[in-house]
Amino acid sequence: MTALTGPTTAGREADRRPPATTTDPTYATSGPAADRPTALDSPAPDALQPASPSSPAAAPADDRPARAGRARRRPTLVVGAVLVGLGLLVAVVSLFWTPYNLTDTAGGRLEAPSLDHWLGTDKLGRDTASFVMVGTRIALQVGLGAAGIAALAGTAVGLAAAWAKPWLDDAAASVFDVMLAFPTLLLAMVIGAAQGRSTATVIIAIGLAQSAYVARLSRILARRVRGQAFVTAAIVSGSSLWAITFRHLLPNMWTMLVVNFALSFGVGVLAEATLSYLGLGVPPPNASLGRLMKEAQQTVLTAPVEAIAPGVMVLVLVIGANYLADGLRELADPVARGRA
Amino acid sequence: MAAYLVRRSALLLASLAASALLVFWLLRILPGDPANALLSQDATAEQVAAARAKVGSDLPWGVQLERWLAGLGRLDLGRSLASGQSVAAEIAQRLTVTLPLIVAAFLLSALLAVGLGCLAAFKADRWYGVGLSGLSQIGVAVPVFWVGLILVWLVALGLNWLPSGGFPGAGWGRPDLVAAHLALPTATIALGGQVAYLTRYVRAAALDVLGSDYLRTARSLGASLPAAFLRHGLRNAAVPVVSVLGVELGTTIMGAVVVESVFSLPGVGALLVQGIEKHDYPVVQGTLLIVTGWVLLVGFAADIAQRLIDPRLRQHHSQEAS
Repeated sequence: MTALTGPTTAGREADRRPPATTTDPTYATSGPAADRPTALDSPAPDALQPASPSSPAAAPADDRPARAGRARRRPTLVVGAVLVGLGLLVAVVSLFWTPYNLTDTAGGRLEAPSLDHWLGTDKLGRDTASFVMVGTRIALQVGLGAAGIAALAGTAVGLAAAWAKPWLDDAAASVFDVMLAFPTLLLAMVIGAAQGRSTATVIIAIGLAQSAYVARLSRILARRVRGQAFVTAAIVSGSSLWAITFRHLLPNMWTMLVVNFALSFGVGVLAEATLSYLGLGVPPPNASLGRLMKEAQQTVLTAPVEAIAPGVMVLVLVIGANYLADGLRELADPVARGRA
Repeated sequence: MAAYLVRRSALLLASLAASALLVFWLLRILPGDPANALLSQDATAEQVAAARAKVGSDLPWGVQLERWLAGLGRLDLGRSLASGQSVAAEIAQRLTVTLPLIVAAFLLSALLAVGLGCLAAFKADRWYGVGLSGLSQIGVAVPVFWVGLILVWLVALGLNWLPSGGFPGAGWGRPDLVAAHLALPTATIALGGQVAYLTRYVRAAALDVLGSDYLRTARSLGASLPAAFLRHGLRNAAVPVVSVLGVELGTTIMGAVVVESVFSLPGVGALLVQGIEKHDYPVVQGTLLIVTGWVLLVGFAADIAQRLIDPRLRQHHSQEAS
């Protein structure tokens, strides 16, 4: 997430409109000059602007994947896909089969891992492996659902801001920035708190909390594309805003949005685990990796595997998502590859 | 610089005001009545009405907002619905736990990250340089409370070196006990993502400098690599790092929220979680405002620090203003 959005403080400075921009949004495409401040704000790896004094703030975030790409261009994508695929497989299998029923308390209390109970049992004699499998499914549900909501809501708002009148666009940008001052987790806690607890609430809360990031990103991307000559040509030739948005803007934005989707998925999985750990997440009887760890905390000395296993699963999903995002970015961005 | 300072301060004030409004609005727009904190499941209609009148949630939003803002002007954040205590006093008391935790964790993380990040950059082609990059990938993906759990298991329960949680009753009257109780939480925040995250930025910034033309020129004039880096590279590398450090010091408070729960520390984060659980709106409102205010203030300080380090940013700005 952060690698994409970059340091927010740098953006706020550079994000003022230049006087060259006309007030009518339809004709606010005065070429590259109008685009310069936006490019400074750019989280994308390809540097459109030459090294300007304020660019160092954005540079390292952009540079990291590019340099890493040389060493493991293919492996990044493969490792990411394998890890996320592993999580998906576990989740799908848990739909049809788990070693034990979640309510089955027939096992001994706090058993060590064995052939009967691969990851041991909890203090009520329930099978930990079954809980981790179902917990993985919930984590994937929340991660994908939240990333989906963030992508839809964020992109819509971001595009609307990019087309809006300058004052409205400026106002929207400031609102995004204030929302970004609320950490994702905090926002999700508050939204989730008032709603009563359910899986759907957690998904919506995390999704909405992340949408400001996506809105900020898509606004910047859309404005950058909009400043280019072919969009001006489309406007002059009379295309409607909708046609331009779907035919020109989105096709030029979607790779970055997909990369960001993978990153928000990882953030969502982490947020779900954390909320559940704090007792503010997916309610019982649903299994949640975060709550598994909370419950295992008291007995960690006698049954460490019970506490370690859910954490490893979270790690697998989040590292997988991050690698997948890096891999996709390298795949989609020849500029980043070229600089490697 | 003075003009920038004025503009940036204005922005800070505007952001603080906006976040105060957002905190208020966020809690009001969501369903659920704050009066529920006072009521049992089977409360009668009169009891509900009485509770709402007591809490003030039956008043129009405008009046509630006015009260909230007027209270803010007097540094009064209202009283907790659950305990009746002043929220501001409660937060001030709990900051004596949270603030040292945040600052200690941040300093530890920054020190480790600068060291490790430079090492990873200078030795990018060695196995440990590559290894450090891989470790940082794990570090940013790990849930912070899981790190705490493992530290409790290994260090507190396994080796019995440090307490596994809680805060000494004597508070800062016994600094040695406080230090012992904050040691593991501090390490947890640092290892649970912060070091790894910062290391990535330090490494990238250092690599950037190492590949720069001015460093090559300095080397060709006969300066050794460490000398050239210290003299020409350090300031350049510091600019983006300071900006990230600012963001990170701000969000460390979220790490504290989680870690206080792992180690049952009576800090601001624990207060927030309690407030949410009990639907104690004044408490949630107050803690949220403190958390966001902290994030914004630190961001402000980082922006100023950046300009003090890099004269080009100052110059660039005055050009833009003219």
